[in-house]
Amino acid sequence: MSLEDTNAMRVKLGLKPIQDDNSSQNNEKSAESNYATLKADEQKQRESEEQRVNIERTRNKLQLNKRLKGKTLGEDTGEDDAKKWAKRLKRKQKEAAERVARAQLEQDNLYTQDDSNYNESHLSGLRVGHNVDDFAEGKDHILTLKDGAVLDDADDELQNLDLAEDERGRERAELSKGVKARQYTGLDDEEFGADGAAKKPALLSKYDEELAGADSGFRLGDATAHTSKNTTDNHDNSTLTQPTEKLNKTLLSLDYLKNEQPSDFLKEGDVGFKKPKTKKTKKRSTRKAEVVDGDMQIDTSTSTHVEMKPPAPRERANLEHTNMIDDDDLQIALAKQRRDKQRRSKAVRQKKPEEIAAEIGELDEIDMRRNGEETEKEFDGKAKSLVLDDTSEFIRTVQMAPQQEAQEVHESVSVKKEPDLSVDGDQPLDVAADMDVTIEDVDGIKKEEEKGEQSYQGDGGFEKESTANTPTNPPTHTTHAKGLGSLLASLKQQGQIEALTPEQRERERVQSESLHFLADQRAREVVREEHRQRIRLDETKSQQDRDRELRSRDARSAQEDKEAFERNYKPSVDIKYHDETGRAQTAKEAWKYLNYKFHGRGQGTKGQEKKLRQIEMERRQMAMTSGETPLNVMGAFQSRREATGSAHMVLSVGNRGAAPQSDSLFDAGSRLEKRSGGSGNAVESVGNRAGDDTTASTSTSTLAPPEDNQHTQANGTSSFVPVGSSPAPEQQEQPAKSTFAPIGSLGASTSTGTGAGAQAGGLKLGGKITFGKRKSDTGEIKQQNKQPRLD
Amino acid sequence: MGLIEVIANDRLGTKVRVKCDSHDTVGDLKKMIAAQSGTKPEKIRLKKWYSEFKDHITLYDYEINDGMSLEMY
Repeated sequence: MSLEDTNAMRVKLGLKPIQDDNSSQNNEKSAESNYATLKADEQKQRESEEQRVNIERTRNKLQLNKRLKGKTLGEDTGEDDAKKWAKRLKRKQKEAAERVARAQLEQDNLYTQDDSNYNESHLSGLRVGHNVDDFAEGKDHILTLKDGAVLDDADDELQNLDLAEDERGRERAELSKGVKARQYTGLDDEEFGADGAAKKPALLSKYDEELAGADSGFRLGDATAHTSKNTTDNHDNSTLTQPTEKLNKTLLSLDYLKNEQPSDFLKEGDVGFKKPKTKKTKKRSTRKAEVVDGDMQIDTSTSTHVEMKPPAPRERANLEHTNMIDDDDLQIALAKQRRDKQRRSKAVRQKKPEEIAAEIGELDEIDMRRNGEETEKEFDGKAKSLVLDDTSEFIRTVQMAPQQEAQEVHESVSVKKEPDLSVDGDQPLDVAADMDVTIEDVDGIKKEEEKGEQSYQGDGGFEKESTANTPTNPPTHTTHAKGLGSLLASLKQQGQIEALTPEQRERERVQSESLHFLADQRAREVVREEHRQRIRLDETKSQQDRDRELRSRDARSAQEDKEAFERNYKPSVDIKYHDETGRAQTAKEAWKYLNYKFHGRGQGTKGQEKKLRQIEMERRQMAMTSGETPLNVMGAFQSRREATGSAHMVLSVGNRGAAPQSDSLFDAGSRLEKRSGGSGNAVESVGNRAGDDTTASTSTSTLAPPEDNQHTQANGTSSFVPVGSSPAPEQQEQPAKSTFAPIGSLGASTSTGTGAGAQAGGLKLGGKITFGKRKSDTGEIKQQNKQPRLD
Repeated sequence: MGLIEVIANDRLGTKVRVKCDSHDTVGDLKKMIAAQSGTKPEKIRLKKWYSEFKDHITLYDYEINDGMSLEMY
C-alpha cells in the first residue's frame, strides 16, 4: 500500500494525512552539509598550525644566527704571525703556574700553623666511644677517629683501638654464651643507674641496647660525664672521682628520736615503705596462725554466746605461736601500746579483781553441778576466751564433716548424756566474754590454748556436739546396713512405697476376712466329708436311711454355705491395666490404650514421644535423692548454708509468712539461730526419747536439714524433739497384725493380694517426713523455740 | 514525527502493513488496520508481549518505531 493510498484512506477516516515529504532526505542533506563544514574547519585549522610552526622556525634560526658573530676559523684573524702567538702562550702558562703556587702556599700555611693555640677547646664536643671508667688511671690512651661510613651523617667519634678491641672481645664472649645468659632469670632485679639509684626495669629492657644502640661514651668537654680538665691533645686521663653528693642521694639519715612514742600512722615527711614486698611473707604467716586459731576456737565454740569480740586476743595468740618476731623494737613498742590501752579500758570498766574472782567462783560452781569431766573441761575453755565468727564456724564444720559420719553411730548415746548447760549457762558466759577484755597476761591464753588442744585431740565432747549441732553433710541415702527396717524407711522416704489410705486399709481388712472365710469353708468341707463317709460306712442303718440322712445333711450344709457366703464373701475387685512396659496405667490411659487397640490404629509419633518422656520423668523421680525435690531445693539450701555459714535458713517471719527482706534481718536471725543451735544438746536432754529403734521419727523444723533425718533415723532419736511434730504415738496405732513381706514383693505392691502385708510393714516403719511443710508453721515453731533464750 | 510502517499480525492469517505517523494514537492505528483488514476497530486489540496498548496513547509514547510488528487479537 503506497503512501498516497494511505493518505487518501486517512482523510476518509478523518485523520490528517502524513507529510512524508522529505523527512529522511532532509536528514541526509543536513548530515552532508555538516560533514562538509567539519572538513572545512579542520582544513583551516591545519593550515594555520602549519603557518605558526613556520614562523617559529624562522625566528629560531634568526636567534641562532645572532650568536655566531665574530670571525670563524676559516676567516682571517688579522694577526697571523707566530711570534705573537708564542708570546701569548707563554703568558698564559705563567699565569697558571702562579695560581698553582698560590694554592700550595695556602695549603702549607694551613698545616704549618703554630700549635701553641691548639688546645682542648678545639676538641670539645667530640664524641669518645668509651665509658669514662674504661680509661685506666695513670695511663696514656691514644684516641683515633673511628671508622665510619662516609655518607653517614653521624658525627666523628674517637676511640682507642685497644679498648675497642677489648669491647668487641667481650661482646663476642657474651654472644658465645648463648641467648640464655641474657634471658629472664626469674629474679626481678632492679636496674641500677650510674649513680647507684635503683630504678624499675622497663619492659624487655634487655633489648634496649640493640634497638637504640649502645649509649656508651661521652663527649669531650662535657661536664657531667667526666671531670678531667687537663686533657692535652688526644690524651685523656680522666679520674674516676664520683661526686659525693650523688652517692649520698639515697642514704637515710640515721639519727632519730628514741623517746618518741611511735605512732601507727604515717606522719608527714616520714619515709614510707614499699608494700608488696613485705606483704607476701606476712600473708603466709597469718594464714598459718589462723589454723592455730581455728583450733582454739573449736573448743570454745560450743558455747552459745555469739558476740563479736575485737580480734585483740587472737592477735596476741598469733604473736605467741608463730615465729614472726623479727623486730624486737617493734614488739616492745607494740606491747607498750597495748598495755596502755588495757589500762585505759580497765579504768573505764572499773571491774575489780575481786569481782572477777567471784565470777570465776560462780562459774566453778556451775561446773561442779555438771558432773562429767568433758563438760567441765570444755566449759573452762569457754570461760577464758571466746572468738566466734561465721568464717571460723564454717571452717570448723567443714573440717568436721568427714569425722562426723564415722562417729555418728557411736556417739548417739553420749550425746544424750550432755546436760543442758547452755540453757541457764548463758548468763555466766556473758561474764566470761567480758572477762576476755580484762585478761592481761598472755600466759592465760597459752593455758587456754593447751586446754583447747586437749579437748581437740581426745575424742572429747566437742566433736559429739558438733555432730549434734552442726549437721553439714549433704543429704544422702540412709545406709541399708541397719537391715530391712532402714531399707523400708528409705524407700518410703523416697516415695517409692506409699502410705496406705483408709480405703485401702478397709479393703485389706475385708480381704483378710474373706480369706478367713475361704479357709473356714475349706475346713467345714473337710468335716462334712468325714461325716458323709461315716454315714456311708455306718452298717447299723439301712441304705434308704443313709441316703435320706445324706440328702438332708447336704441340704443343710448347702443352706449353711449359702448363708455364710452371703455373710462373708465380699470379693474386692480391682482391675488394673498394664501397658507393654509393665507400667500400671490409670483409667484414662487404659481407656486410651484399649481404644487404640480396638480401632486398630496407634498413637501418633508426638504422642508416643510424650509418653516416653513421661516414663523417663517418672523413672528419674524415683532415682532422685531422698529428701530432694525436682527443683533441687535441698541442694540450693545446702549451698545457701555454705555461703551464709549458718545451719539454717529463715524461710519466713511472722504469721503472714513474709520472707525476710534485708540482710540485717537475716543476720539477726542467724545470730539467734546460732545461739539456739549451740544449745541443741540441751534441748535434746530435755526432750523425751521418742520411740524405739525401729521407729524412724523425724522432726520438722527449719533447723533440721536432711541429714538430720538421717541422723535421727540411725539413732532412733530426734535431736530437736520439742520442735517438730511428735510422731511416736501415731505409730502405735498401726495394726499389730501386719506382717513383713519378703522384699521381692515390695516392688509388686500393686498386685492386690500379696502387697498388703508389705505395705503394712512399710507403714509401721514410716514416720512423717514433712519438709515441704508450711513455712509459716515452721517460722512459728522456731520463734517459740527461740523465745526463752532471747533475753 | 514522520512516517513509520508498522506490521500488525494475528497469527491466524491476517497480516497487515500499515503506514502511519509516529504521533498517531493507537486508536488511529487501529482504525487504519480495520480499514485494511476489514475487522471492526473496536474489536482489535494490539499487544506487544503482554502489555496491551491503550487507544489514547501515541505510538511515539509507546516507542513504536518503523518496521515493528505488533500482535493483533
